[in-house]
Amino acid sequence: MTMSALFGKNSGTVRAQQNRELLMLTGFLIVIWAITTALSPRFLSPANLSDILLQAAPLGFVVIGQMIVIIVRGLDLSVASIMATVAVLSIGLNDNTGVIFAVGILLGALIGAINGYLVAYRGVTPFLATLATMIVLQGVRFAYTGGAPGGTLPDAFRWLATGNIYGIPVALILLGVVAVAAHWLLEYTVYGRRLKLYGDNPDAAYMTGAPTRLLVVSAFMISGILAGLAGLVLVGYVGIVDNWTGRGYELDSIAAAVIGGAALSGGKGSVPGVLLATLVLVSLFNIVVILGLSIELQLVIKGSLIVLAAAVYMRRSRR
Amino acid sequence: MSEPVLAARALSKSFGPNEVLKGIEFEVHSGASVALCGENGAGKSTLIKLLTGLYHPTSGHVEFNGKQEDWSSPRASLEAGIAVVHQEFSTIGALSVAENIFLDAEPLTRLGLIDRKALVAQTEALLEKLGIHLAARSLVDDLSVADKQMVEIAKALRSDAKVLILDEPTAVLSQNETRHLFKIITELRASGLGIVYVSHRLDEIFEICTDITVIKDGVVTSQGPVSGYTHDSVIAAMVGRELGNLFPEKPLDREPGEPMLEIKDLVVEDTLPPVNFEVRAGEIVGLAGLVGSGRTELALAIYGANTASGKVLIEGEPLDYRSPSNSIDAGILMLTESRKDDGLFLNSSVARNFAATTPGHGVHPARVPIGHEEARAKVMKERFGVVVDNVGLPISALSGGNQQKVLIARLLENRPKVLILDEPTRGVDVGAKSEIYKTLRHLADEGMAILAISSELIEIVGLCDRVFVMRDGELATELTSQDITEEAIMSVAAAETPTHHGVASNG
Repeated sequence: MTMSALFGKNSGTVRAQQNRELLMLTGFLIVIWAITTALSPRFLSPANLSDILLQAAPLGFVVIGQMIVIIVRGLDLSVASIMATVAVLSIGLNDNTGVIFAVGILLGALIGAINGYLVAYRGVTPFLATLATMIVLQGVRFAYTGGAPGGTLPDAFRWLATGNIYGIPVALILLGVVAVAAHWLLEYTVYGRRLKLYGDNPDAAYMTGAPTRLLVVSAFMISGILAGLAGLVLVGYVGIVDNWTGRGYELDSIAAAVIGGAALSGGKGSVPGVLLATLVLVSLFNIVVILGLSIELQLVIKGSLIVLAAAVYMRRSRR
Repeated sequence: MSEPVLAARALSKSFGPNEVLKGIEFEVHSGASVALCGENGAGKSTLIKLLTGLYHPTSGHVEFNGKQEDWSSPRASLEAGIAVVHQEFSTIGALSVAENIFLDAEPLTRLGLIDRKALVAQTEALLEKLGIHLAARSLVDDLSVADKQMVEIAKALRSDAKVLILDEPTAVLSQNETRHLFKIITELRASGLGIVYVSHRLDEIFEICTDITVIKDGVVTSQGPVSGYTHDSVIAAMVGRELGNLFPEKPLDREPGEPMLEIKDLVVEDTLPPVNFEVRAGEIVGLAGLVGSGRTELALAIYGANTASGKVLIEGEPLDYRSPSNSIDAGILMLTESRKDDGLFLNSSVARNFAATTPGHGVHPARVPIGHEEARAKVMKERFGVVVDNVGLPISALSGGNQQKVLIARLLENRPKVLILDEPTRGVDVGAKSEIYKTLRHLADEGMAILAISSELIEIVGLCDRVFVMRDGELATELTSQDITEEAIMSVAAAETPTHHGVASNG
């Protein structure tokens, strides 16, 4: 990214516009961090920053999946329900960390495939399909646990969420690997290109030979897998299995994807953008706590931010 | 003769430097029905838009009831008594017949709510008067295409109309439905309405019109009572433009090569007869016919985008499972009719649009290295003369002609054996047209088989080595070399046959 690409005669390119959005988001994050630090120096302490990052990790997984679904003109309301269901079932079934993760990923993929099938092959709108999945999973989960989930968390499992390697939290390394893989998939593979082109114009994608239905199914499967992973990481972080693990993540993930530049009309979104937006959202929550403001304020800020982001992106796309 | 109810006086309209209509004189009298004839792009729809106030004339004026009028909007002309039934329906499926007819003019109760009783009563009275047999309360979604059209006509005539303009009203109707429509038109005419009837089907014009006005290239070329015309004389007035040097020369004496594309017993729709033909290497074969004659449906079926039974063979090899993806692999590539609907990715860059079929072309089947699409697009830009500063710009920033060049270049990246082009020069300026023709002829010379659909007769005549004229979903006739003339195509395409199947529109 050179300065001339940003402001020179090539400033109208699609890439330059995306780079400007990333820059704006980075600028915004720096501004709110600077203001908070000025008000309370405690914000910038290593312990607090590490807290922010650890809290951001589970949401980060979900947001990446959510963005991929949004790129193909979808929406995944079932992510939070997948998080809790995967956590409850896979931990309940076994206490070997490897098996837990394997079962979790398979389960997430399966649920995502069902969502994708409903949307791509049965023509159900993504909103309704994933809403239904969310509710059904809730029922399955409660039936399985009888309201009181059990299962013990193996030490190795807890280490994945709270441990360190050379001082870097394992959860963040895991997210980093997933983020790099997702970024590579989206930007440097034919598959990723087809996802974005499909979101831009599904009919044209079909006419240029894209396997349109499989694209949609695969996007929902990725979202399911990442939600499952997020559920396990979050449970490891919190330390207890809960029927409501990840509650609220469905809407937070949509908010972060939109603030990060994914367009609900499809075809647009980047991993760096949505991760920055995730960091913005988690920081705001932390800031409210640090500054001793009321928790309710956090919701007002979050909502306002979505509207602000939408307004900025709308104005740009209209130009 | 009495005064005309609606008239155009020296009416001209320009869009920028393009003069679309030049000094049009046109009259409709009460109790008469005037046919408005002309090729696609002759200026018929522009004239209708001027008559109804959607456009404003550059010079000249519209006269209504002997007075000069400058409509502020189509609504003003509608209120004055000019009713239009457009080719595309504006009915709302989720509303009843009555609600559609009186949309925006519903009778109200004293409380300001819709008076349902009065609504139904008024609708029944109107339908009765027009001789249309429809239940006022039925849902428009449940109606046939023909009945929807009746709803459109009733809606147009809900207030006292003096003139009714019908734009290609029979394009989507079966023969029986057309009969019924004609009966209604005749009755309306007898009651004193002036009718403007736009159609390509000459038989219909001779059956129900009293006068004819023919427009060609924005000028009236012929005008008079229908009794003074024959099929041939109407066609002669419509066609006959100079080919000029817009088209590259055809290799008339060359032997055609091996068959590249063979279509065997392809059934596009159950009610239609199977289609059989072939396209040989080095040939440009044209599919001519009226809008709605089934050309696009046939092309989409060959490409595998629409389901159809029958066989498609490439170089003698049958394609097993037909889908766009498999066709592309086998070497059939298609340019679709509407760029914006299913051709362009409007939010994506020129480079990505160009590379969309095979993003990793020449490097890897699954990966797209950084800058690969851009590098390829730069080469393409030079080769096809696409005017754009940077291939990273969104394709929406390009003119129609340049967008079309990018789409054609996209097809050629995969070295097609067979190229199917649906309206290859739609919305493209003359300069770009000429370049596209040259490219296509060059590709054919190199041994490609090309199947081109066009609604512009001059394009079919100037470009194609062989032409199939389609009518009602069938290949009605085949024309070769010297026999390919606008007159010959038109006389087949516009003829009425006993097998009037009423194929869906947008063909």
